[in-house]
Amino acid sequence: MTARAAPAPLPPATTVGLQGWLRQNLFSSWGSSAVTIVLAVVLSWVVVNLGAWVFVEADWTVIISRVPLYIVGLYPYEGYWRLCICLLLISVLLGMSWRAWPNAARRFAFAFGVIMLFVGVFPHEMAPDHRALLLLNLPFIGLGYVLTPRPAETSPGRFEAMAGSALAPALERVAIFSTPRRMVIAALVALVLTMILILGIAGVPGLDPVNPQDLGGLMINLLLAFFGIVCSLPIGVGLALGRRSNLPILKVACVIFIEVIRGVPLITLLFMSRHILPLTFPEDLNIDRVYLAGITITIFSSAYMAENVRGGMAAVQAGQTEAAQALGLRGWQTTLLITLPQGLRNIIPAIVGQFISLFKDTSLVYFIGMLDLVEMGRVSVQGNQEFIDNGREVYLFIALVFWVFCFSMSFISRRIEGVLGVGRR
Amino acid sequence: MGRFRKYLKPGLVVVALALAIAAIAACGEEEQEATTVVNRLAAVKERGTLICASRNDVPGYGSLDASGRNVGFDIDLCRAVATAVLGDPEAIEVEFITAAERGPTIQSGEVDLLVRTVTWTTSRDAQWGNYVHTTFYDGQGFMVPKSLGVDSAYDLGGASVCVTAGTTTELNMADFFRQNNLEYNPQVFEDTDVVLGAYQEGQCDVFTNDRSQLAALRSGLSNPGDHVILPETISEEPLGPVVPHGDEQWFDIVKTVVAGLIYAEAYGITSANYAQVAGGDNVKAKRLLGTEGSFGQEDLGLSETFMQDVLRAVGNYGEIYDRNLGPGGIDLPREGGRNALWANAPCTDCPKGGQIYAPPLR
Amino acid sequence: MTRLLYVQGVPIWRNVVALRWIVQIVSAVVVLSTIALFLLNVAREIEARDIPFGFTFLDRAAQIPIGEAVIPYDPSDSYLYGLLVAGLNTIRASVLGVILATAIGILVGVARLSPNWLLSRIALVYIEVFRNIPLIVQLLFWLTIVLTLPKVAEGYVIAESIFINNSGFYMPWFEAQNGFWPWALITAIGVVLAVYAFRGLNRRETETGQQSYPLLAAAVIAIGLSLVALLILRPLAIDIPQVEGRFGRLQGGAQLSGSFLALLVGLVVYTSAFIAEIVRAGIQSVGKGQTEAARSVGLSGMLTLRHVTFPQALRVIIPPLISQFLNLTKNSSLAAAIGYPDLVSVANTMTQIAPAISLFMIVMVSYLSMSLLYSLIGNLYNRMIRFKAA
Repeated sequence: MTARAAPAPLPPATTVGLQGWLRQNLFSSWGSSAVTIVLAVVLSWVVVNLGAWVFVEADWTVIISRVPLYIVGLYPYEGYWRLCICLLLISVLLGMSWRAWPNAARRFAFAFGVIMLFVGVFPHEMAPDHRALLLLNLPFIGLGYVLTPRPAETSPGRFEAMAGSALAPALERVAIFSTPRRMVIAALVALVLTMILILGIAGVPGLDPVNPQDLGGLMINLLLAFFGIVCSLPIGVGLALGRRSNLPILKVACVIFIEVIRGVPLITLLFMSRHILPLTFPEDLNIDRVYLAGITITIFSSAYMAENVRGGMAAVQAGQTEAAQALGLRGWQTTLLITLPQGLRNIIPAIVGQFISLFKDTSLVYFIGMLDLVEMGRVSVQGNQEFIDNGREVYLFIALVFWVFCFSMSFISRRIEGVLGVGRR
Repeated sequence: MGRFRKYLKPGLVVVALALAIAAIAACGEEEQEATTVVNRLAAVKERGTLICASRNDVPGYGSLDASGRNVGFDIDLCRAVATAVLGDPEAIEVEFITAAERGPTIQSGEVDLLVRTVTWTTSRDAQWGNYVHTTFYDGQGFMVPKSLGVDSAYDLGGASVCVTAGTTTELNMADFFRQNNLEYNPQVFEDTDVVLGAYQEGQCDVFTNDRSQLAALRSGLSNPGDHVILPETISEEPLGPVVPHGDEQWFDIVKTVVAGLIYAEAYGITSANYAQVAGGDNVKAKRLLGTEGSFGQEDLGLSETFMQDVLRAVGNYGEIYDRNLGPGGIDLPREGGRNALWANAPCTDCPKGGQIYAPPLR
Repeated sequence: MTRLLYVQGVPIWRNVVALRWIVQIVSAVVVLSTIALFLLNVAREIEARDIPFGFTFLDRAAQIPIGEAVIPYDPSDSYLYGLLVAGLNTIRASVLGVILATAIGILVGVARLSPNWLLSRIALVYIEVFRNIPLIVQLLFWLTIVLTLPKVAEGYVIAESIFINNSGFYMPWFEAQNGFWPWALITAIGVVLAVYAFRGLNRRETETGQQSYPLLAAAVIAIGLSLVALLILRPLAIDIPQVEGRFGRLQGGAQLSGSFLALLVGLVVYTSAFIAEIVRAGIQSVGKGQTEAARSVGLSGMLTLRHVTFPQALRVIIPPLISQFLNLTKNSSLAAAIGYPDLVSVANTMTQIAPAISLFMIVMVSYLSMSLLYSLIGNLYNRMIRFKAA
């Protein structure tokens, strides 16, 4: 710059543009600058080394040569089309959610469709009919979207006759999830169809029954976590109500159940359920250990769910209960109509959080010999001499898969939180 | 007192109700007392599949190939029994179990057969189930890097020793070092690849396992010549299938199938030539294949010619060995070792030196 | 007959007292008979199927190896003692894990709120990466990292007394001498005095507003007393790790084995990601008005944090924090996969001879008692803060 005759005061530090942003957020003080520089050096070292390993040194044959094993385990190849149809059902549901809760579900539906599209066109070994079924997912999301009516504005005042004006706003808020009744029905139908498609029915051509033990890979992690959460919700509500009840014996029983289940590691529960639970069944009733694992995970999850529900119900303002009592509702009516619904609404994010941790915990079913994603990776490395040195590749791959699922779920959870206005009371 | 009397009557009624419910519950309990007698052969035939407890993480013994099919020596034994009983080598359900689960699984009788590299020991025989027959002889050894200059297991004092968890290997190791007053530091891992990693990176100086495993793992190392397997064998490890306690017939069936596999090799009957031999003139071979005479098949409820099905499905003992543990698998030498046949029939007196042997088929 | 069902003209099905009783007893009968049926069935089947069960094995010699032990262990010791050794290993990993996870969790949680963009982003990435990957996978990863350290012979040596290599971390440690117990007693007294001093000075500070450095005073009392006693009594000798034997293994001092390090790092990293989120939420839960109000009455930044922000945040932080501690303890049961002899891992080894079902029952009861301990601490804390609020 040119020299000036009179030294003008220094211009104020820029606060706009790249330079300003850097100054504000990275180099605001000496300490901050030092931290920034050290972190940048460490970060680039990690990225360079990891990149070099991933793209140059690592040998990914152990993954590429057995992709289906990681995804669906030993599920018979002839049944793959059934799984593809399950994906289509999920697409329809996603499309419907997109319409019903655009803020929470739009990105997820979109991402799901894009991933299916990508897998569908990716040049790898895949039967053309499976490819076609995968590509159909995108139109099916659209189908679900079209099939759902625009979310009706909740008609103001429709609860007033029922519960009086004091409670109406609370009920209106709860109504958020009772609005699309069609969605609930669709979800239930899809659930039943999915189970039929995955497990098959004896005697129906094309739907040959599949040995439940052949379910494996990522599929079994997702199925176990999903059914664990769905089935544990009613049990958890029951336990929470039991714990809140003023019948001492029931209360004590619920407390003991919850605390015992929460107090021991899941692997010991799995071991016990595998070897003790069958002893209590009749001799001729042979419950497959996949179902045993499902039962155990449900029980495990229901203890945590009970605590969530209890917390959610405790967070409902006392005014609500008092208003209900003032209107002459009985104890159980207050609980079922006022406290429980609002409590459940409070814990939706917590339920998603629990789903995430349950999903991670399903990786422990290796302990009872089931071939979930982690176990499949372990077995691929252990059981094949040519892959005995490829453990790192396998575990990195598995970590990535789990991460993608868990992270996207926690992302959705935050969106739902925003939509429901939880925490903005 | 008056207050109390008010509650007396409802209280009594309630107690009476409770007692009634308790009585009903107790009756329900009585009814279940009858215990059923298990006939495993009938149960297997009715079910249509044979349930084997095995493993999927040891090459050669039991693993999954790239298409997810169970393969291995133990799995082939399971297939042989399935073929003998049901006529179909694919009629198996393989339950993958961890080492800790072996006992409870076979004790409860939920599986028909346990073939999971289980060492035959007396207390297991007493507690777990009936050991059928030794199908593979192993013994525990030590592998060390050549650079350490160790040439005997008795020089291992002060070493850090890697071992896989939940096996007799761990116990034998403890016995050996204690017996010889050697200091050592055990490193117990669940997975073989982790043990191997720890050994290769020098976290431990010694890797102890069954010698067959050591040999197989050494051949997979980047430089097998840099590692030596020490000469001492510190234990007996006879491996073989186990059946649940309480069903003699089933025990005998599995024993007979194993014997059939061994004699088929001794008589030179393979999956390729069994049809010709069945129509040939070797008397013993014809008896084995069910075309002439009997060795007790019908007493066990097996078909006359079940060995023909077995041989077609999995081959004889030697074929199973070669496919999984021999040149077709992890390449363990057999000739001259303990796992060669004892005798080369029909010359029953000319030993081949091995220990694989079975009761005569007659 | 029908008169029996009426009390003072009220039918029993309208009598609130009777109804409560009926529900009580029915629920009791249902609960108890379910439990009884379950236990009876199991007991009958165990007998019928001849499944080994019982606890007589506990005083027989275990004859199994246990790689590391806090108290001396020999394979000729009994199963019960072996389980105790393993239980102590679990406790060792849990206690160290809880301390480190809390420290790192707080650091990351505060970093998450840092004005430095890079720092807060890295904290975010740390949290999101480590809490979204199953622990078992992370543990296997950390073990490979530990294994990439140099071997014993080529390992790092600091001041000829601290050794770092892929077999573990070795450092000098103390060996108790004659005067140990008197010294321990004096130290304990010092700690008690320090607590009293802290409380008194803290109260003075809150009441009068005069800065009186309670933490500093407490530390001086406790450490000073202990140090003086240490110099006079000389209760501790220092044990330096030595290279021994033809394999060059290290003996003596304090040892943290490679497997233990991998387990500790895995547990700490995984749990600290959750704790960081709890801390962040806790700090954010304190209203901005509180800080501003504290500033406006002239409290310095440090004092604001100690007297205003932290006590309020703590109420939100502590309960979920304790449940994370419990999770960490339970998660240490995954140690078997990476070779650390914890309770589950040792019980697993014992199942080869001893009855598996009995062993796992013992394991479950042990974990249960640890979790009850955590619940107790949590309840005590809850009672404490309720007391203060009243």
